[in-house]
Amino acid sequence: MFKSLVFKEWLKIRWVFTGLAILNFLVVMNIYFDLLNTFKVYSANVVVGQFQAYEIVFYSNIEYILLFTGLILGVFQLFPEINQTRLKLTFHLPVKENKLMFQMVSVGVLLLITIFLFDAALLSIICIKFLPREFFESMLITTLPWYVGGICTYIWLVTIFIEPNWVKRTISILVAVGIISLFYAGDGFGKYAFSAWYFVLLTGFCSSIIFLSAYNFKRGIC
Amino acid sequence: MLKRINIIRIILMLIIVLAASIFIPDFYWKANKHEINRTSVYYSPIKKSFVLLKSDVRGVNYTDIKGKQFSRDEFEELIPFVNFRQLMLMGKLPDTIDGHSIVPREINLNNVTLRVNPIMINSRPLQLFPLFESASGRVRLELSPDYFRIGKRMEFVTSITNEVNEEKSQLFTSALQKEGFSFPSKGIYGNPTTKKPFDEGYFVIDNSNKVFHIKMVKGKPFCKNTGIPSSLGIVFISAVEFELREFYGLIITDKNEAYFISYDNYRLIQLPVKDYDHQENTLQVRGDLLYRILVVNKESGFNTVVTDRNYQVVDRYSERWPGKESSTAGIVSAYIFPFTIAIEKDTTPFINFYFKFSDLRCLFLSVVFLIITVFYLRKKNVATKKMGYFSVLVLLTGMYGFIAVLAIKDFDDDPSIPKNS
Repeated sequence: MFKSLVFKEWLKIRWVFTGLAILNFLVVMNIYFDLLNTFKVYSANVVVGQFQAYEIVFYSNIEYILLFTGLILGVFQLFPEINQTRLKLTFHLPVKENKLMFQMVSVGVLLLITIFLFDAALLSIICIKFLPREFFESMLITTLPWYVGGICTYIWLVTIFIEPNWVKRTISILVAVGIISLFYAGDGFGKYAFSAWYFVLLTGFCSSIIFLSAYNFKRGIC
Repeated sequence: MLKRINIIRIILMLIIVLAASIFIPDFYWKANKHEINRTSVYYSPIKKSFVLLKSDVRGVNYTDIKGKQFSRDEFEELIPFVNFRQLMLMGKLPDTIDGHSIVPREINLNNVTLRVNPIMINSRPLQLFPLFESASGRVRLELSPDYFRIGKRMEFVTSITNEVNEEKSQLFTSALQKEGFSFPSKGIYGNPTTKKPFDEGYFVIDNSNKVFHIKMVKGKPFCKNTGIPSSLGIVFISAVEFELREFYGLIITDKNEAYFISYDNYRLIQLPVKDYDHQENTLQVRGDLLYRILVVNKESGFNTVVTDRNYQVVDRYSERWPGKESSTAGIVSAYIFPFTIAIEKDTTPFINFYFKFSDLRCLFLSVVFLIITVFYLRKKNVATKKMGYFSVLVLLTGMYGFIAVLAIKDFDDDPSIPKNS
């Protein structure tokens, strides 16, 4: 059953996944070329000095692309389910709705993590090639909340889509916008150095709400 | 036992409480922006007393501490060391003050300002610094081709190749070891800019809290144990090069003390700072030809001490004004918000969940919300057991919990629990 579900989800989102992967790749390449050109225009010690002194986050272009990736993947995975009432049929399968939801969301989250790991690996290679390791270490902690924020966006989108009640859906949208904005506050290096794991935990808690929406959906609680 | 779905409902309510406690107070304070009182305090060598420059959105007010008003020109004449260029232009710069002949070059040389705020203390910059050539023989300082770090040894990374310069790293590491440096460093403090008159390198705290002075002189390492006591509890060093060459910088300790590191073999000069909290307040040290003025700026006031050039206290002055908590909006907020969470704070550059609890006044509104909640839940025929959970939430979190209860409407769709039991 799980294999069939994964296959169904893959068929549904393979093109959007490919598109998002290409978009992420292009954005990372854009960062690479920007950095390459900076090193062509200015001497290396000036670049390092400016980056260090002014906390220039040369990879900041990726920030909202990660959020966008989570958002678009969620829309393309869930919109057909809701619009064509496929989810109702899925919930009629002889499997608990929580398990089904968990499996569906796992597919989405795993695909997101795949894209994000790809981004992180490419950015790390770029960073290590041009800059001392301090920049690489700082990049890991600076970008962590952005990646987690992308996953959190996806999770809230699933929650909002499958919530059948419009009032609750509106409340969820308000809460989601507030919570997601927390992942993208502050400019500069490592602003989340002392709190990144709280945000991972918060995402864990937010993901449990999907099951409440699925419960409401199955019972038609409006 | 709570059913799993109810645990998820509680999680959702807590997330709503979290979001509400961040965004509602934030919006409230945006709508009730507190007017900031800006007061600059100076010590007049003419009047031998403090004079104040107060500014707000309505304009600038020049006054002394007794409230006597001055015109701008009069005020500038009272503090000639601050405004010496303007006074020279107007031909009003005095020839002597207290028997000291006033020479513009001397005034400029002796005018120094240092400022330390909590953001500077709490920041964690990348531990990678340029080491300038301190005796290049050039008028201007030049950026080095490499940056150093001090971990298990002192390492120089050449920027163009992004590789460690082994020879230079070895040279400086050996020099530090000879001087008794214990790796790795706990803090590196300097002024890494070429826009300064000369270079004094860095003050580095080693692993056993000893303070070392490191710079590069004609390509060779200058590493010296300063002898500054390791028990001082240094939390920050503001190292700034002044042509005056009287002190290397300012040390702030965890006991809220401030010391100058003098050019006299790193002798420490304790500054008579009072009521200073390095985690909350900004310390400003200004110096001129005759005095040193130390100002501790707080959210709701300041205190200042003026000393002579031997750091003997000449005069003190402090002022307080109502902070935002004392304003009408502040008093109302104490009633309506049991606590607030901010993710950003003025005193640190880091994002986190910063809790601020209100006092007992918030209980009034929490109890009102609790009563409304109980009536509301009874009307909704919610089981008594569940009402208990919700009531505790509203009592503890007040308005935020009440919003969460209103947002979660389907309290009792579990057929296994009898209603109002």
